[in-house]
Amino acid sequence: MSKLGVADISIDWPEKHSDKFLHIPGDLYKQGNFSCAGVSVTDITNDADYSASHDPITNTVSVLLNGEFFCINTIDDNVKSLLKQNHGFVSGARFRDAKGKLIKKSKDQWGMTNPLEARIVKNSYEGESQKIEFKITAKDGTFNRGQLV
Amino acid sequence: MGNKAIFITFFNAKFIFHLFDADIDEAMKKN
Repeated sequence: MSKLGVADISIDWPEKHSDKFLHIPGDLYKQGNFSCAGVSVTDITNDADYSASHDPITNTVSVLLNGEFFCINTIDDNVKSLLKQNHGFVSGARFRDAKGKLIKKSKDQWGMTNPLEARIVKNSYEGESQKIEFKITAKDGTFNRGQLV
Repeated sequence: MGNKAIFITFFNAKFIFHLFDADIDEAMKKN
């Protein structure tokens, strides 16, 4: 089994509080015709546990995340609304190798390569999502190569 | 105004992601 790095997982939620994801069978959710805000998991910190394993039989990747992960560095002081957000929705992921590089598919007929993607619902781009609870925090400084400086 | 780093804390979150057609091991060999 090849070693995987931290997956690129986008977590979305409605931009407007009045917009709601629809609860659908299978304890999944679906975005309506509205805009979303969100964050992405980009790196692990020393206060996190992470594992990702590929099952070749089902062609699935099981991902476990616990603790604090890095999202983004920003110079925007207006992060108050972001810090209030405590849940969001995940519809898919892209995967990084152990060096942190996005894993790409083979070249297509036009010589293009796109990142390998996986979805919560098999073979679907309909946006079915899993609800997830979390806490968002902002710390003074810049996170770089595993360190806050 | 200053630099801020944004972090997200998960509480034992688990996801099962379904790949489309490519075998991830095969894709990694090609990278």
